[in-house]
Amino acid sequence: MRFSELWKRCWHKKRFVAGACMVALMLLLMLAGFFWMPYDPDAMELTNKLQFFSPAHPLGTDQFGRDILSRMMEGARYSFLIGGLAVAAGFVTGGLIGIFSGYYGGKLDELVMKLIDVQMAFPGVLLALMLIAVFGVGLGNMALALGIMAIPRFARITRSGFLKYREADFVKAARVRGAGDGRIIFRHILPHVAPDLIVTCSLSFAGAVMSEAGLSYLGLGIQPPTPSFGKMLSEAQASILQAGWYVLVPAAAITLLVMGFNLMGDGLQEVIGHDR
Amino acid sequence: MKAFSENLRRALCGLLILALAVSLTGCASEKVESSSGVSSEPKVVRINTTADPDSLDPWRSAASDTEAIFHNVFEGLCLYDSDGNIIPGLAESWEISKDGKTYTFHLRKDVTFHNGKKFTSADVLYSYNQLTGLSGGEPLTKKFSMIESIEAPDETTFVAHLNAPSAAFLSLAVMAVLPEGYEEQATQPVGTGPFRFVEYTPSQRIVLEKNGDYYGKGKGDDPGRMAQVDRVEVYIMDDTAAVVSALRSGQLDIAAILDAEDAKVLEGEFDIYNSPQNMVQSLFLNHKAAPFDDVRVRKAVSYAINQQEIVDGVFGGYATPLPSNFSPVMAAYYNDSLEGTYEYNVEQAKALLKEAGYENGFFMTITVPANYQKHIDTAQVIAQQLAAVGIDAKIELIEWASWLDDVYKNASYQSTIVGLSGKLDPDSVLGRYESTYASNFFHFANEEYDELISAARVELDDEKRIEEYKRCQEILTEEAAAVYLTDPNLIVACRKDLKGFTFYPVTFYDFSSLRYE
Amino acid sequence: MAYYARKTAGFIVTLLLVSLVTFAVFQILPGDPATAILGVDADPVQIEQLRHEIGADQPLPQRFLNWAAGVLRGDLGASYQYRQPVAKLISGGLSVTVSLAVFSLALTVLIGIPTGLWLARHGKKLYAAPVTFLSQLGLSVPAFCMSIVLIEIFSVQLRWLPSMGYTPWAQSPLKCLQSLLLPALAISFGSSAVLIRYVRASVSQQEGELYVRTAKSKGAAPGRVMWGHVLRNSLIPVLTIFGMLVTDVLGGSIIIENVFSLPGIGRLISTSIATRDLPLIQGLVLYLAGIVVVCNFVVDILYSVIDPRIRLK
Repeated sequence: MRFSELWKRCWHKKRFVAGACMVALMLLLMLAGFFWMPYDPDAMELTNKLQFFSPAHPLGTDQFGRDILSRMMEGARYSFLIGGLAVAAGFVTGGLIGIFSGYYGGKLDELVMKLIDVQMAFPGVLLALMLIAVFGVGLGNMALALGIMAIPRFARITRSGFLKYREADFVKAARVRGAGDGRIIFRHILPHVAPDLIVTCSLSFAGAVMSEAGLSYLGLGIQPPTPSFGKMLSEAQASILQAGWYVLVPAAAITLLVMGFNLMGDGLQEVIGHDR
Repeated sequence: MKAFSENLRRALCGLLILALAVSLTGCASEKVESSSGVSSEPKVVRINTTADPDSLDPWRSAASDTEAIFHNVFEGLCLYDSDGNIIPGLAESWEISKDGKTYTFHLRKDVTFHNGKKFTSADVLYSYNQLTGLSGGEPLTKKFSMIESIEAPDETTFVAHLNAPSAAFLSLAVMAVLPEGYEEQATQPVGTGPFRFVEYTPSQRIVLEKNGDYYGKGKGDDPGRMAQVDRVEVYIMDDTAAVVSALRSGQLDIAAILDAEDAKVLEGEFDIYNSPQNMVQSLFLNHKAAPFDDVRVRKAVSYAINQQEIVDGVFGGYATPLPSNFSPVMAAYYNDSLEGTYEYNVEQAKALLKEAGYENGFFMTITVPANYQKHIDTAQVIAQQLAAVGIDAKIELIEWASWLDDVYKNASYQSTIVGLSGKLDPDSVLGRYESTYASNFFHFANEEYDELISAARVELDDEKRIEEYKRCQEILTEEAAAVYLTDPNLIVACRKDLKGFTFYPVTFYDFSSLRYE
Repeated sequence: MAYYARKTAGFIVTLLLVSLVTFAVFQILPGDPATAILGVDADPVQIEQLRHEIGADQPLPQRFLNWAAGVLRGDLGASYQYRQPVAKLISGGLSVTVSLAVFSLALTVLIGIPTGLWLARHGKKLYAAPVTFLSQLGLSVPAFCMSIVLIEIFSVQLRWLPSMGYTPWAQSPLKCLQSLLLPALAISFGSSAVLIRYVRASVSQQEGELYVRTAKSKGAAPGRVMWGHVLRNSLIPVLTIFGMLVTDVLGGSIIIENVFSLPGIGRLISTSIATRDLPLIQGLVLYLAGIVVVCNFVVDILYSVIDPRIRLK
C-alpha cells in the first residue's frame, strides 16, 4: 500500500481524525508561538501572580506572574522536541537491534538480548536519575535519557515480531523466489510488525512526555526558566492549594498531546490491519 | 429477540467491568479510623522533617535538621533558650576564672541517662575526652581545639582549662554529653533529654517517647522542660505537597517548613506560626571568577537586585531582607545601620557597571542546588532583575552532592544561591569569611576582617565583641562580599488544639513545650 | 534443559554487567559521600572521620573489589548513610516496594486483561466509548497527577485512606492494604491502560489472521475461536509487555513512593544516589536487576510454553 493511500484511508477513521485534531491543536499552539506571543514567556510581574483566566491573560498567570498562554506556546516546542527526540532515538536504535536480533537469531541475538536485558533491568527512572546525576540537568540529557529508556521496548517488540514471522510461509515463499535478506526484512516482514511498532511509537511518545513530567516532578526537568508541559505541571502542582486551576492547563495539554498521538496510532493500526 | 439478548449480554459485560473497577476502589476503603492524637489515648504529636538524620550519634552528626529533632534527646552542659541565651543544662552553674581560661562547671545531681545510668562528672570527662581527643584518640571535632586539659575533681564538678580565652566556649558546651562506655549511640542513642529515643525506620520515621524521669520539672503549674505529650513521631517526607495533604487529612499534627502561599490557605483551619530562622540566603559570588573580582561589579549586582520583590514574589512576604551576612534574629550582634545600603537602583547599577568596563553587561551563570525550590525560584527572579541592567544570567541546576563538591569544596563556580543556616555563636556565622577558613568558597580575603574575627574570638567583654562583629558585617557590606538576599521565615502549621510551638534562633523543634488543650 | 541452563548462565552475566555499569557510573559522578551526608555545617575533622569509617578514603576500584568479594561471601556491606547492613535496608524497602508492585500488577491484570478482551470485541460500539475514554485517560495522565487527585478525594476529603506511610503486612494486613491501595491505584491506572491497548491490539490483529478466518468458516463457535485460537496467540506480545510492565511499575514506584512517602526501594534509590552511597546503590541495583531479569526469564519460559516453536529453533 502506498503511503498516500494509507494517509487517505486514515482520514476515514474517526479515531485518527480525533487524534490528529488534538495533536494539530498542540502543533498550532507551538507554531503560532514562533510568530506571535501575547507576552514574553519569561517576563515576570510579581504583583500579578496566580491570576485566574482573564482577557489580559487568557490562561492566567503563574507563580511569578508570567503569562501562562505564552509559556504554553514556548513549552509546546520543548515538549514536542523532547518527545520527538526520544521516539526517534528509540525507534531507530531499538528497531534495528530488534530486526537483527529477531531475524538472524543465534549468538548475535543472545548477546543483544543480554544487553537489552541489562538495560531493561534498570527501571527507566533509575536510569534517568543516574544519567542526569552524571551529565547534569538539561534538555539534551533529558532527551538522551528518555531515548535510551525507549530503546528496549522497540527492540523487544520488533524482535518478537521477527521471531514470529521469520519462519512464516510467506517468508519461506519469498526466500524460495530468491529475495534477499533486506527485501525480506523490509518488504515482507516489517509490514507485519508495523502495527505493533506504530502502537509502540505512539506509546513511547506518550511515555516520553509523561516521563518528562515525572522527572520534572522529581526536580530533574529542563533548566529553568525554560518551560515544558511537564515542568509547568510540576510548578503548578506546587501551588495547587492556592490555584488549582493552574494545574489543569498543563495537565490538559499533556493529556491532549498524549491522547492525540495514541488515537492517531490506533487509527493507523486499524487501516494497516484491514489491508492485510 | 436474539439481537436483543446479545446486546443485553454485552451491556451486562460492560457493567460488570465497571462494577469491578468501582468495587476495587470501594471495598478496601471501608472502616479506616480517622487517626489523631485524641486526649483519652496517649498524647501523640506527629510532625514532619525533610531528610533522614545524618547520624543518630550526636558527635558524628552535623546536619541542622538532625539537631532540630535530637536536641530533645541529648543535652549538654549548657542549653539555650528561645532567644539564643545560654542557660544551665546538665551544669547547674559555672564559674569562669579572671583570665577567662578556666571554666568550672557544677553538675546536677538528679540526672539519669535514658538507659538508667546515673549521670556524673565521669560522663562529662569521658565525653570531652572523646570530643577533643585528649585521651589519645582522634578528636571528633575541631570546635574544641581551645581546650588544653580537663579534669573532674569530684562527682559533681568538671573543670576545663583553655589555652586562650574563648568567647564561644559556653555556646559550644551545648554539645551532647553521653554516658561513659556506652557503645551503641549510632543505633540506639541514649541521652538525658526530656524525650527518649524509641525507634528509627530509615526514610520513614523517627519515634521519641516522653522521658518520665526527666529532672527538669518546673514548679507548680509550670511544667518546665518536662514533656507534656507522651510520644512524638517524626515522619521523613521530602515532598511539600505530601506534607500539606498529610496535615489536611489529619495524619500530621504539625507541619513544618511550609510555603507561605500554602500557609495562607491553611490559615483558617490551622494555627500558623512563623519566625525568621537565622538563615542567610544569598547570591554568593566567587571573588576569583571574573567579573566578580571587581568590587564595582559586585556592588552593581547588589544595586540591581530588588530584595523586596524576592521577599514578596518568592516567599509571599514571609522573609526578612538582609543587608549583610547576618540575620536580625540575633538582635544583639545585628548591625541595623547597614539596612538600605544597596537600595534597589538600576541607574546606580548601570553606572557602576560602566565604570568597571561592563557597559554592555556580561554573561554569568548562577549554579543552584536542584533540591531547593525556593532557591531556584529566587534565581529565576534574580535572572529577570539582572536582565534589566544588561546582565545575562543563566541558571544551572545541579544535584546537591555535586554542589557540595563543585561549589562548596572546590569553589569552581561563578555565582550560586544557597542558604547558610545560623548558629548560636556569631563566630560560626561570620567566621565563614575568614581567609583561612577551609570552606571559604567565596574566596573572600580581607586583612582587617581576619583580624577582627581573631580578636572577637578571645574577647571576653561583650560590648567590645559586639562592636567587632558589627564592624565585620560592615566590611562584608562595603565590599559587597556577596549579594545578600533574605532570611526566609520558618512557617509552621499546627492543629488548633495543639499549643506551645516555640521558635529558636537555631533549627530546633522543642517538643517539650508542645501540649494539647 | 540446556535451554534453561543457558538462560541461567546469562542471568548471572547480566547481574555482573549491571553492577559493573553502576560502578562505572559512580566512577564519573562528582561528589563525596561523607560531605553529602554531613552537609555544609560539618567540620573537616568530622568529614575525615566519616570518610575513614565508611572506607570512602580508599580508591574506588579498591572499594569495588572489597564490595565484590563481600558479595561472593553473601555480604552486601553497610550503607554509608544509614550505617546499617545493606541487606537489612533492602529487605525493608523491598517488602514495601514488592507489596506495592504485586498489588499494582494484580490490579493491572485484573483491570487490563478483561477490559482489553472486552474492548477487542466491543470496542467499536457506542456503549464501549466511556471505557475506551477511561483507558485513554489512563495513558495520558501522569501517575503523580493521578495520585494527587486520589489523595485529595480519598485522604483529604473523605479521610478513608492514608496519604502517607506504610504499615507492614505482619502488623496489620488490613492497614497494609489500606496504605498501599491509593499508590497501587495510581500506578495501575496507567499501566492497566497500557495492557488494555496491547491486549486489544493483539487480539484484533489475530482476529484478522488466516487461521481465525478458517476456524470461523469451519463453523467454530466464536467463544471457542477466542479462547482456543486467538487468546493463545495474542498472549505472546502481551507477555513481552508484561515483562516491561514489571520494570515500569518498579520505576513508577520511585515517583509514587515519593508522593505517598512510602519507605520503599524508590526512596532508597533517590537518597542513595543523592548521598553517593555506593554499597547501598550497588545492592539496590543488584536486587532490582535480579527481579527484572527473573521476570523476563519467566516470561521467556512462558513464551516457549505458549509457542513451542520458540524453543525448537
